[in-house]
Amino acid sequence: MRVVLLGPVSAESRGVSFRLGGLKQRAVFALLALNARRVVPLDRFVDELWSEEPPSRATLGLQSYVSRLRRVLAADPEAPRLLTQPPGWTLDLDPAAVDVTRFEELIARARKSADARELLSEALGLWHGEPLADLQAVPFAREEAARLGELRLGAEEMLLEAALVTGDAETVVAAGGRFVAANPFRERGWRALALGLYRTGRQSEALAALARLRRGLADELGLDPAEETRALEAGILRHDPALAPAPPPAVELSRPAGAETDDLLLLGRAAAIAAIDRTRQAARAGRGALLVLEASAGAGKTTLLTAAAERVAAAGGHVVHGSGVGTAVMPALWPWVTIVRELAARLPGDIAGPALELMETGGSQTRLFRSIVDLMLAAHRRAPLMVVLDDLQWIDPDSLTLLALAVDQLVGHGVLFAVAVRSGEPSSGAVLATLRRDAVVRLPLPGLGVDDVGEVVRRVSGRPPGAGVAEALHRRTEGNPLFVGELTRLLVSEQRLDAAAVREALPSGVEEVLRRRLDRLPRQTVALLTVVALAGGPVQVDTLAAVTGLDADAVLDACESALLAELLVEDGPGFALRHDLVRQTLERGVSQARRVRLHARLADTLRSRGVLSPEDVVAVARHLALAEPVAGAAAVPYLAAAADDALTRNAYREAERLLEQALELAGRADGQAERARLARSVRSRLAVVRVWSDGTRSEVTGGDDQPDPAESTAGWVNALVTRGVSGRYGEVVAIAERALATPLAPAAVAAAHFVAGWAQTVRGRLDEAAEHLRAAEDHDVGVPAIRVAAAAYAAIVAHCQGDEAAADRADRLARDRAGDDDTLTMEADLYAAWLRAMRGDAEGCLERAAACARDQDSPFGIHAQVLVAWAEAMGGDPDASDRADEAYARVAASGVPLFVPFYLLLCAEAHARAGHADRAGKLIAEASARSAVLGDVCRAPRLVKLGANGVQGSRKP
Amino acid sequence: MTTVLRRMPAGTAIGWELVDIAAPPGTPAIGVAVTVTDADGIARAVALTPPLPELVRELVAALRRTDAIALALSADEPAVHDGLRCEDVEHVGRALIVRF
Repeated sequence: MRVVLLGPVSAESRGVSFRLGGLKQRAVFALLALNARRVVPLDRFVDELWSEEPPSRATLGLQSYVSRLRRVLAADPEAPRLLTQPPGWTLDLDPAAVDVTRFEELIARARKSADARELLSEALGLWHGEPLADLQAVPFAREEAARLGELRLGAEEMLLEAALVTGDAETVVAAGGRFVAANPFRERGWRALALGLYRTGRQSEALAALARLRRGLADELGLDPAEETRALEAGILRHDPALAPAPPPAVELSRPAGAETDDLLLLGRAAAIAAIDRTRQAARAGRGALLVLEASAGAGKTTLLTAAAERVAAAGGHVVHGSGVGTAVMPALWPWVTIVRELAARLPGDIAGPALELMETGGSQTRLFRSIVDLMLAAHRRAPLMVVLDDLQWIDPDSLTLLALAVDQLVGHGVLFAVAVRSGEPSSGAVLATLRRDAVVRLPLPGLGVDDVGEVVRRVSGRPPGAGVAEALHRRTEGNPLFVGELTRLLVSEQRLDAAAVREALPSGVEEVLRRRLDRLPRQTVALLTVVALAGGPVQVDTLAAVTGLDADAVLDACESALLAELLVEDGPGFALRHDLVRQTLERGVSQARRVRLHARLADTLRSRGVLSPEDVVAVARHLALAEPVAGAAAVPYLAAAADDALTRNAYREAERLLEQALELAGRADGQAERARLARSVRSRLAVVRVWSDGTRSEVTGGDDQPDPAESTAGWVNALVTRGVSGRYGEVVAIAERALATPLAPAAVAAAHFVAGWAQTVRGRLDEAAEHLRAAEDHDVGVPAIRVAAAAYAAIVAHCQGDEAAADRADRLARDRAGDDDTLTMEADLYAAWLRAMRGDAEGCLERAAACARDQDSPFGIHAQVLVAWAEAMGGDPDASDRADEAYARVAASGVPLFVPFYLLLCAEAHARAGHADRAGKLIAEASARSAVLGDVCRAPRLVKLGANGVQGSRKP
Repeated sequence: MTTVLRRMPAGTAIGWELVDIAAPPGTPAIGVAVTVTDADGIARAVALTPPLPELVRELVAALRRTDAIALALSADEPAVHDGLRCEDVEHVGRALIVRF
């Protein structure tokens, strides 16, 4: 009998495998085999396998498994017997028949041998995978696997050193590269690799290897390399004669074909690596470039980008990555947000301060873009800079504009850019056409050669390819690295990796291979993977649980098989698909109707979280838009919110795109009223964005550095008002006051004072509001609507300060400024109705609000309806308080939640007048809560008193 | 491709629903099982609806995550046997026992 534990547990005798049963049954067998001819006590089994179970149940189970194993072994007369020997059981098996025992014996002999290579090779050849691979759920198996894994690593290091002793540095370079890639903190392996590189005449690569070790230790563990490593590094630097092999190899060995690099993923990429190195050298001389990797999916673009970045970093450069491109669930300009944050974390002092501030608080797009370009230049002056962006075919237009600008401005300073674009995507050509052509260096990404394919097979399958296998795979896959790897894994898993199988294999493309690999997974696992695919990016376990209705344990179990199949990877607290082609394959595996419903589920799950982050808002918008057949126009408010968020980074085109999508969806909403309501909430935003984005385009191309308000007074005011009503009044005041600190044209000064005065009014900061609104009158703002509003807000401030005469004067001024213009009159009427409601003048309020309220399509009309309902309630209409609630709900849903606490207090007063004390009390509490959230504070004295005294103060006597 | 087995606790019995997570709201479960776990740790399937092979396969996998030491099913239904082809099944009278 032969027992394999260095891999999935198995046992065979005379070519016949034993059926060892399920997990715990195999675990029982493995524990007995590891202790062959020694007694394993019953209590140890219980502790190892059923530690949480009551002993009676554990013993019952254990006995059943032992009984079962006994029957299995009894079927073969030559198989060992399972004997009962108190206090446990013994497997009467020669220990030498167990591979673990043989492995340990060979290692022990190698330690004492002058030439240990043969012994070590035999020992390592006993391995068929992770030790006890199928028992990893069992603690003792994990511990034993860890112990054996450590022994194996030691053996591999010994083998590397033994090869160095015999002068076979080339083998050490190839094997050492793989070893350190898999074990990045094993210094002994790194030292062997570095010495191998040095002895093959690659001093700089030897130093780069040790630099990677140093960085990895520092970044991941906060450690410095060991003294031996530092000594080796110093020795390599000064060409220490002691590092020479003894005796030196008589013949310089040529490098094996297809092993130009140490990394499996970089097989066949020598020409591209050489091009990267040439470009790097040129960049050091001040000639930067845009490295472009354009190839089909699975060609290895991301791997090569990573290699380029590693080489720049190894030479002491800074590499920054724009993340979030192509995930479809990230806010606008996100790649550059991540780059700025990365640079901010690396640079000393407040060098990144201006860019960070502009990203967070706004300003013109020109200023933002320039500040980012300046930041990159500042970083480059400290260390050579490389900017990396993957999946450029999916980049948002504003990010692409900034990339084009940055390339144009920075390659002349020696900055390197590296981008990957998937060929065959509709946007690929247009994206590349945007970038400066004379800066482009295209990296070759040909298919793998036959030898390289053979090497992939060897490393994936753990054995050399059979006759004709590499050639057949090469023909089938045209050398596409992903396709080669996946097809090899599939055939290995189907246990038919031979040339005939490759030729007969039905898959005509990598997607078909992936689909067949997915077919091998449990259905529940595939269901979860489908959800991950539709999510569009990394997904956390709780999201998967909520979408599928499974508990977290079931989710983790189901994902485990996908992790083992290397179709899923762990990503922070959640999971992500290993490659975008896996996502595509999964998406195409479900019908459109099913995709729609799953998108709706994903949206519901995210929405149920309550407060959403900007990333969540974008994700919900995307899912709801894709779920339109079942979700209708539910995406509209989220698309609008995503556009608002994009505006905070001045990503106007992305905002415009989101709003256009929202408008299109709104146009397909059910019911005319709903269509109109949704369209209203989008159109006002879209108008602002279009005014603003037009200014931005001319600004970017023309290089005009005029202050923001001068670019478009109305647009600037609208943009800030839009930002303010989402509860960011403080930001708006700060932006306006910063603008006032710069030289401005008179109209822009008036606009900035108005914006600051308006925002301070809403915040309830009356003195500051009055001061700004007075200053706004010193110049002609040139926009009639702003002139009306400035006077009207001055009236409100005066009333709140108790100066009714000034309030009346300003109120009349607002009306006069409106003149005969219908829209301005409507605006002035609304403001006047506000003032009268604040004063408690129901009759006057109704008089000014009534006409305005009839226009249900305008924002003024929506707001006026609350005032009309309040006035009618105060006039004794018992149903008007409910109408006030309904009107308030429309305001809240309009996307312009201005004066929300004020309206809630009016509704409360209306209900109090109707005798609904409880409802009134709740509304007062809600007013207070909304005020705290939005920063919108009602200072009208009468309503302040109502809020303070509650319903008692307003109840009808 | 989008079916999962959900656990629906309900008193001493546990309901198991094989559902299509991409089905329209209100769509009935594809299959339903009810198990009761006795004091001896054996889960007994007291109700099973078609499609039995798939439901039984998923049920065994799900019960392995529970404290149950075995699953007992009625041997009367031939389709149950299909669902247990990959399992070590014991026949005890008219019951099938899958030990975990």
